[in-house]
Formats: sequence, C-alpha cells, structure tokens
Amino acid sequence: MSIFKDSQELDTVMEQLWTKIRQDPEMSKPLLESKLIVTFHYRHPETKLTIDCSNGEDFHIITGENQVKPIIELFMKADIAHDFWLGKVNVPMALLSGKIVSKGPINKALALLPTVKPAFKLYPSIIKDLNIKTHP
Amino acid sequence: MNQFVFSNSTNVVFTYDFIEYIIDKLDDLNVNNLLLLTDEGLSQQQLFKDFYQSLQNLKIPTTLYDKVKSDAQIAVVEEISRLAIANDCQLIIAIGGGSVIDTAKLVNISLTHKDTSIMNYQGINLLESALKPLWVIPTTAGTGSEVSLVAVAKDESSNKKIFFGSHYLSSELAILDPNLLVTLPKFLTAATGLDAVTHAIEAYTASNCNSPITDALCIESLKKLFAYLPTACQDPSNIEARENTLVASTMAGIAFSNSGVGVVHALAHSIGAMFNTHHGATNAVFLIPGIKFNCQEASRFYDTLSVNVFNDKKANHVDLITTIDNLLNTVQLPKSLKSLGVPELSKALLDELATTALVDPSIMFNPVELNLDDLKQIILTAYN
Ligand SMILES: NC(=O)c1ccc[n+]([C@@H]2O[C@H](COP(=O)([O-])OP(=O)(O)OC[C@H]3O[C@@H](n4cnc5c(N)ncnc54)[C@H](O)[C@@H]3O)[C@@H](O)[C@H]2O)c1
Ligand SMILES: [Fe+2]
Repeated sequence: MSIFKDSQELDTVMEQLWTKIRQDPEMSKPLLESKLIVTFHYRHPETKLTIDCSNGEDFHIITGENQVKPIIELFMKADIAHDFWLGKVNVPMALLSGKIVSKGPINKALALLPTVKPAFKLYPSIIKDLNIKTHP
Repeated sequence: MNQFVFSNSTNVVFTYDFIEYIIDKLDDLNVNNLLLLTDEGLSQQQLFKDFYQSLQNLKIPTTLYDKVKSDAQIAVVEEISRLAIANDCQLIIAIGGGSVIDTAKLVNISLTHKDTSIMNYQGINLLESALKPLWVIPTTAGTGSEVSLVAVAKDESSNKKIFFGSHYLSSELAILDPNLLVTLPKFLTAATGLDAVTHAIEAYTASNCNSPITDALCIESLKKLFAYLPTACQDPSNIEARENTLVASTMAGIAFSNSGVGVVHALAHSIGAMFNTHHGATNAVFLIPGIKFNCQEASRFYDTLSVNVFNDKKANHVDLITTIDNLLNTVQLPKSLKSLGVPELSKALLDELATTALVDPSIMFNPVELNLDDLKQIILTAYN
C-alpha cells in the first residue's frame, strides 16, 4: 500500500513542498543559477512533476503532463520519494539496487541533492498538515 | 551491517587459451555476424592476429573495428554503431583494456536499440531489457570493466566524463587469459594495476553500500595485487604474476559494481577528462591524499582493511599508506599531478576541477562527505 491515496494527493504534497523551496532563497538561488529542468516521474500513484528553473529568474512548478523538455528525469515509486524527503533514503544504495532511475547527466541530478536537503525539515509538517497517515 | 543487494550477471571464465575457448563456444552457436572490437595497439599483437585468423577459418562473418580510441569517445561509439547496425551484428566481442570494453558496452546499447544517438541512454538504470550478447576479453588488469555495470565515456566537446550504468550493460561473458597481458608495457601494467588497487580500497571503504561479500572480494584482491603487481611490472612474461593481477582486478570490479568507489575516482575522472591523463595513473596520484583525507574521520575502515590484508591484528591505515607508497616507488608511477604532466593549475581551473569532482557519481559512495574546499585541498596536495 502506498503512503499517498491518489495522484491528486501526491501532487498537492509536492506542489506545497516545492512552493516552500521556491520561497527559501537558500535553496531557490542555487536552483535558479543551475538553470536546471528536472522532471520527477512517480508511480503508485502515478504522476509527473516538473521543476523548471531554465530562465534563471523564476522557477515553475508544473504537475502533470507538459511540453517542457527536461535536462534530467528521475523515476521512482512515490513511497521512495516520501522516504527521500524524510531524509531516509540511502541514495547510492537506491541507485545501485535500481529503486531510482535517472535519465540524463547524473552529475546534474547529484548536484541537486545537497541543494534541496534543507527541505527535509519542511516536509514532515506538510504531511502532517494535510493529515496524511504514514505507516511506521 | 548495511542492507545490501549483491549481484554479478557476468559469467567469468579463466583460461590459458582464449582462442580455443571462444572458437569452441562459437562452434555451438549460430552467429551470422559478429562485431569484433579492439584498438590499433592490440590489433598488431600476434595473439589478436591469431584470433582473427581463427574466426575467418570458422567462416563467421565478422565486422572488425580496430581503431577504438583511448577512453570511450562518443563520436567513435556512434561511428561503430552505424557500422554494427548496418551489418546487423548479433554478438560483440571486445578485446582490450577499459577503453575498448566501455566502447563495446555503449555500442551494444545502440546496436540493440538500433539507435545511434547514444546520449539518449545517458543515465542510471535506464535500460529496460537485455542487450545483445557481449563477450569481453580484458588485456589490462585493470579497470574491472569486464564485469562492471558501468561505462564511462568522454564527451570531447565539454571535456567531461559521461556516465552510463545499468545491470543490462554488463557483459554476458568475461574471458580472462593471462597470456594476453605479457605484452602490456611496464607503465600501463603499473597504472592499470593501481586502478584495481584503488577499486579494491574504495569498494571496501564505501561504507554506505559495502557488504561482507564485497569486503571479502576486496581483501583477497588487494592481497594478490600487493603480492604480484611488482613482479608483473619487472618481469612482464611472468604468467603467475599476470594471472593473479588479472583475477584480482576482476574481483575488485565485481566488488565496486556492488558497493561503489569514492573520492579518488571522482578526482581522477575530473582530471582525466580535462588533461587526458591515464585513468589508473591518475588514481595512483590521488590514492594516498584521498586515503589521508578520509582517515581524518573514517580511519576505522582503513584500519580493518589493513588488519585483514596484512593478516596482522596490529596493522592500521598507516601500514596501508606505507605499502601503497612503497608500491608506487617499486612500479615507478608518478606520485604527483605535476609529474603526471598536469600543467600548473590556475585558481579558475582548480575551481572547475573541484566542482566537477563534487558532482561525480563516484563521490556519493565515499565514506566521508566532502565540500568544494576539501576537494581543492586534495588536488593541491596531490599537485606537488
Ligand atoms: N567501466 C568501468 O567499470 C571502468 C572502470 C575503470 C576504468 N574505466 C575506463 O577504462 C579506461 C582505461 O582503460 P585501461 O586502463 O585498461 O587502458 P586502455 O584501454 O585505455 O588502454 C591503454 C593502452 O594500452 C594498450 N594495451 C592494452 N592492453 C595491452 C596489451 N595487453 N598489450 C599491449 N598494449 C596493450 C592499448 O592499446 C592502449 O594503447 C578509461 O576510459 C576509464 O574511464 C572503466
Ligand atoms: Fe577505475
């Protein structure tokens, strides 16, 4: 069973999380400087999220289908994403064991990691406020 | 202990007659067209010529490409792929060092998908199904690429390394024949040997992903490399030294495919892409500075490795560093970036090299987290 009851719930969580990331210059500044476009493909439940920092000035959070061509794409189960934002995923092991799939320059995906780490602190309150039941 | 998954999908064969082994195996198969890859240096070797002649005697249509360049270059991969697709090759046989083997792995992606745009497949775990059979015969000991799940290419336009990783990328069969290594010159024997030493040390100390299985492979591999690498360099036709270093490098290759490498590889990739230095020789330069950096916080991993490798309860990381230093002296490898031929580094260049290393995939397995300043410091230490 997945943590998220459906795609809509997952979209809401990710939108709220990335909105907080956008509001925090510590995270948004390096993201905008990187001009990265990253698409996350989630399964169980299925959805797609694109973060587009390509114009360097404002970043766009797009849920669902879109025409933006990403520089990197990451594919994973939604539960892995949930664990990731809780700071509980051993990323090298997840890559070695195939739980995370990356497309495009892996070094750009890895550069993203330390940048968004401060959001690990923000994520639990989003889950709590939306009253999402997590199993231990 | 870490939770772990251990796998090795490559069949490893050790033989003193790779030609007989392959011809016998091909005899049982119905291969219509095979792609044979090597480089210009190796195609001049008698053993290669004998092998090619044996294939012709078998009357198996063979597409030969013997101009693979050092480090898998994207343009070369695309050129070979066009040829292989046009000839509808069904099996790839690669004879060579890491450059030939990595090139063959990437050609296999293109050939299987009938798509010469190899950059479309850049990524980790992206391949969704098995590729065509790939048989590899390593002629260096070495990169471990004959059993590894990765291929590292060089993008000539950006001077950066490009990474491909997938369980489907590994070869179906690795054939180890020490006789192929007797022609390997002293510098390359030493440099590729130090690549294997670095794999064994980094895979053992990759504390996020290592396991008792990878540890055992690393320990045994290092014992063999420390014992036999000096002889392989001093007495190139010593088969006992060649076979032990060859098997050791394959063992280290299986280990790092399951637990990763570390900061030494991250730095070697960055410097190698920028200055075309040999991969193993560059690892050799960074090995001691990298270990010393990691030992500030994580000496315990190097201590247990030393206890096991030297069979001495009192051994510790200092013994490991001393042994590596002595080995570098014995096999006469450069011990600094300067003596490796790297030009004086400007501040901007130092920044760029450290930034590239900071996001190299190898670094995520390192037992200690590093920042940009740490990396710059290690590069500066390794320079002189
Ligand atoms: N995929 C992986 O797991 C992996 C791991 C480590 C390194 N690599 C890659 O491997 C490459 C380096 O490979 P390498 O160190 O084996 O060297 P190499 O394949 O680049 O070969 C170096 C030279 O040695 C010559 N040579 C090789 N075998 C010989 C022999 N038996 N006798 C005479 N000459 C011989 C070749 O002709 C060539 O000129 C780098 O591109 C590196 O990125 C890949
Ligand atoms: Fe290596």
